[in-house]
Amino acid sequence: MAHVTFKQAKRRYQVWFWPLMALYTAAILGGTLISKQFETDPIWFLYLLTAATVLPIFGVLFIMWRYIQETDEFTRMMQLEAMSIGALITVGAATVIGFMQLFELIETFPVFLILPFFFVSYGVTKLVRGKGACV
Amino acid sequence: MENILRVLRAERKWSQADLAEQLGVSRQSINAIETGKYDPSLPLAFSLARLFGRPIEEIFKDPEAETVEAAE
Repeated sequence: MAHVTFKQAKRRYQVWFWPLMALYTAAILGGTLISKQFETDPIWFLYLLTAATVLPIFGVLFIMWRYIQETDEFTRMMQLEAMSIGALITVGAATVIGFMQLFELIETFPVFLILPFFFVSYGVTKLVRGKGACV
Repeated sequence: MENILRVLRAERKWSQADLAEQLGVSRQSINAIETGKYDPSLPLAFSLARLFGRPIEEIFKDPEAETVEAAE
């Protein structure tokens, strides 16, 4: 891998992050609007909507991985630490929710919320650690 | 680990951002190294040594070595 500086790595991350988030928002809003055109959503449309929503998220996950590869060693350490703690909190919360479902304390839980929950846990961890390694 | 990075930087009138730019790392990295919150890897320590024209052991102090010397 070609060596890139911290600034270059950060720029490469940010250049892709906002367009991908814009695509994600457009997919959700556009999907909701288009969905109103159908009496019953056709199956092909639901597959298309799923792909349009998920692909930008996969893009964000990819650029996060690339940023961790390319950034400087201190930022990498801070990012990985925040991600690890965020993942542990998310797995813990998912386990609690899973058992609550098993014992019928709650009915259903929208699984897609796990990813935003992870991002919140990861973001809060970075802030709490307060070492300014944020993107 | 203690170091004299802040002194070396001040001698050259460089800000943390200036030094970070020259090394291709974040300003936060320089701050963490200067305050002893983070010990750099060998490649980064060598880069610092090269930049300041000093051997690594002059920039970074080994606290255990000082303890041994004092005991002797």
